[in-house]
Amino acid sequence: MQIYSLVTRWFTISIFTLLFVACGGGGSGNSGSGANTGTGEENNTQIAYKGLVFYYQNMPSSEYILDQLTDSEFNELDDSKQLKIANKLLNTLFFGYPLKNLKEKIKQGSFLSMTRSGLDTENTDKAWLENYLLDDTYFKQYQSQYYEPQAITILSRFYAMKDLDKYFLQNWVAYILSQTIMFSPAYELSSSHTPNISGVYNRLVTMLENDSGMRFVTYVHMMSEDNWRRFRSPEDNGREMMEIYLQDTNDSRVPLAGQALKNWKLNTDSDTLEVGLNRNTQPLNLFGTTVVTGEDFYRELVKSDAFTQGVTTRLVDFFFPEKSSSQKEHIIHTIVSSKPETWQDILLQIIFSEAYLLDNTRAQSAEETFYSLAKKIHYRHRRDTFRRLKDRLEEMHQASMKYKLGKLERVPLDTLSFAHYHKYIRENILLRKADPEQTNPDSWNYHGWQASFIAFEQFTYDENNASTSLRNFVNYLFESTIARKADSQEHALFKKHMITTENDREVFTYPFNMFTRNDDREKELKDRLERKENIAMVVLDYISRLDETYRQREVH
Amino acid sequence: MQRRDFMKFSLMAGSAALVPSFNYAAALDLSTVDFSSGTYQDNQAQTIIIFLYGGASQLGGNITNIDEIDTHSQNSYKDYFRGITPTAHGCWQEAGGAEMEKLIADGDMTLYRCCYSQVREEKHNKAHGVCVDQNQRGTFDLDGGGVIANIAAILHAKGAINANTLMPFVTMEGESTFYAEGNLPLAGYLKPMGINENFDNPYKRERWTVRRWTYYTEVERDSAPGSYWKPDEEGGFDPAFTGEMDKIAQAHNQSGKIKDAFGRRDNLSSFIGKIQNAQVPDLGDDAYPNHHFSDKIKAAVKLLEKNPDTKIITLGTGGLGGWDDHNDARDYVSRHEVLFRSLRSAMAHLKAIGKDNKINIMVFGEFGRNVNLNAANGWDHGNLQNFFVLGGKDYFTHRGAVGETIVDVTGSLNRLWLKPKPGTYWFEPLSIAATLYKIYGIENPHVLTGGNYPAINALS
Repeated sequence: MQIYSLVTRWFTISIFTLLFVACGGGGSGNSGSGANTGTGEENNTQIAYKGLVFYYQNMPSSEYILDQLTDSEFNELDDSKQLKIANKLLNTLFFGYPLKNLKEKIKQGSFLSMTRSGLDTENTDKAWLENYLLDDTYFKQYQSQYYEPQAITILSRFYAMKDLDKYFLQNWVAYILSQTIMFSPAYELSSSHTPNISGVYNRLVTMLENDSGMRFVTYVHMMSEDNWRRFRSPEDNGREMMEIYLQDTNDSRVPLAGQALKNWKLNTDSDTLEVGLNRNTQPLNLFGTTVVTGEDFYRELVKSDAFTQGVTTRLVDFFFPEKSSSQKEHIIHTIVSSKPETWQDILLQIIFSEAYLLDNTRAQSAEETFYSLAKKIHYRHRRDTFRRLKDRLEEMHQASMKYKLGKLERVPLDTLSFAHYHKYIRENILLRKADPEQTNPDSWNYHGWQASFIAFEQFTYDENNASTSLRNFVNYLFESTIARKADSQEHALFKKHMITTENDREVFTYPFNMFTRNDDREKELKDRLERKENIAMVVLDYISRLDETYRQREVH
Repeated sequence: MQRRDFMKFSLMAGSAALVPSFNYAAALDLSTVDFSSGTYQDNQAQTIIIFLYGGASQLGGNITNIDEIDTHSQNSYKDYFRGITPTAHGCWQEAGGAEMEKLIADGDMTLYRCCYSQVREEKHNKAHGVCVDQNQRGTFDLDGGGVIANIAAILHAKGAINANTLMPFVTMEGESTFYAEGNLPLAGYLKPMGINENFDNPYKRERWTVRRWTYYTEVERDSAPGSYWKPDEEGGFDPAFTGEMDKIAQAHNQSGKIKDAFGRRDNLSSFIGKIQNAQVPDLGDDAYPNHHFSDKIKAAVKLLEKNPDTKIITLGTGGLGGWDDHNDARDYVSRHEVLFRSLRSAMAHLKAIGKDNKINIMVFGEFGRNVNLNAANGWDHGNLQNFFVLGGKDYFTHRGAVGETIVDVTGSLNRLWLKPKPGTYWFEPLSIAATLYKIYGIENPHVLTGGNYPAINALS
């Protein structure tokens, strides 16, 4: 039985049983053809169940209707705008490159299309990666559920993935979805358990790996125990599924949903989803069709036209929080008119669009800031870095996968939340330099940016011209982190503090003299590095006080 | 209490208080607001709002209809709950009823049992998001500003608060819709300050990150050799350079919340430093229970005592849990009990510091719940909730339990409701916003709430 073999790839036993029951005659029999037209994995896109198509190839970007920023348009912009846009795109994807690498990529003239095609390419050695993540030598493995270790592993993965490739994208899509009201595992709830974190997330990744369409992904999720641990009674689950995915808040339809789901319950014995055989037999009019059983309810919900509109709205709200209602409606309408059938169809259409890359402004999530900075500044992690990141996200009220309704506000900017955000980025990333001599990955001075980030080969300098060298170094630090050069006021600030005039000649003051000399070559190198670090710490501290570190701005 | 009884102590509300409004409030127009600085000064009100996210069942404060409810409920209350005992006023003893009785007996609390929305009933609206928005904006217009943002704008425009008012609004729940800016942008100092129950101070920059020797000029270093980087008490001081960095960075930062947050960071840090060590008097038998939520409300009272400039503090019930009790409603009983045990302590605390006449506490959520105990032993969303008002005795006259309910048996599964008894006093949830406006000196709050009047008269 083909349905059997396909479905068991992702379903838990209980969910499979439900489908099997439905397919084997337990369902309504009047909610579609029930046709299984699949011909095997080589032709996944034709496999359907009662009209619900399981698999879709991602739409080629040429079929997107929301205007995409093209390479040629990108190349026509000046260098500074190109850098800003590239930075915005990469930050969005939790990625970054050291400045030189990024500039080289931009210079090739096809930055956007190369990045886009990279997301379709498999580069990651998944077996190596997943073993690496579970290696206690590098990433502390927490056994107690108190730490929600599944969430820590997910956070570690984005740091450990070296290529912005297909696997990275699948993880990013899964992560974004699991931050929203649609797929949040909601580990804050007493009925939700830590395996639900990996349950939701890993199923998303796995289904994306298998080209599952967004309707099928949602259908499976809605029927999962993970979801039932979040919305725990027939009327609650039915109500919330309609509200979350269709944006239908009409209370008068809740009794119908409750009726269809009347034999579904979350048993208090280990918070287990239990589906009885006392299924509804009364035809119900929902979603413009007839629904009888719970499985009918979920299937017809995702098949309905309102589904695409509903989920697109959720994602547009997530990425365009500061746009006006009418601007958002236009973006939603445009995306919906392209007839997306996969999550990538919506998400990639958003983040490569002109509306996003050129016009959008929004607060940047801490994940976007952290992961991109980590790659830009040659960051070295400690074994417990990601447990700490997870804890700090909670303090910022940006906890990952915790909230029952997801991150309704992706980046809370109330004073307390933002104070934690700023403190974390400032003290743990920008002002944290790794001690190259420290080899113990549990030591506090093990983590931080490494000396290679400020190596002399990273920027142009002239030992006979302190002022120009400082200027170049400052610009390098600015462009590396916030994708712009310092302006004259900022240069003046640093120059005044670090350079003095002696005998009509501008020279570095003692703490910042990165060209200090010593007959002992080894001592000289050490001293120069230390002085350069002093400069970097001042400049990075200043950068930590700029809103650009925490915000994505328009690029005009 | 019947409608006419309520009217005896309602000097201002008039009959319109009983008529729900179907109008939506327009954008805030300050010229339409009648502000009484006398009322504002006389009341010297300070408010703690506890918002019960998820929509708390009203049964904790009202099991007057329990026998009829149980008759029609899908699952039996008496079988499921470990005790459902009515108190003298018909509260649920096991769910904090004993605490409620004490608060009522001491004249410290009014329990309004009929906060009900006819508008939502007709619009089939029992969705969390929309109802939270409406209640926190005090209007059915979801483009309007939040209640507290409006109060901030009005008090500022009328000169009651200004840039020298220290932290007039404080949140312990993040920036909820209460603070949503409407058509009038708010100055940074009118926006809420965030704190937590431990008075953690992330606003403070650690000394090792500021008093770095490389940040000092040679002149500064020479001015206090060996001690310039140490704590203040050892002669330490912040280098001028860090202030210059802040100044130039702020000049580059775009207007908005991040710039505001940076601009207020130093003051917030000092403010927390001042209140961190506030003590709670010995409350004897009324001591706060050892609970995370109790710590929050205790912190809120301490803050209001230490800083009379703070007008309103909002908090959710984080640490206690949400109130969306679709299943396993036994948890609700214990949660509600802790809530009222904490409120009893808070009232004792207010009395001990002599603030029970000035500081009030309001407890409500987005809606109440259906009363059918469903297959999962929980309740679906409902449309009638309790509104608890405590303290503020200079401007509130507490009347015990107000309002009577009836059971609406629809015969449909999961459609068993409590509704206001015909003739009893009831009000739309927007009247809660009107009450808040009223105690802060706004004489015609109905212009802000689509015609809904205060739930309780502010001039008792």
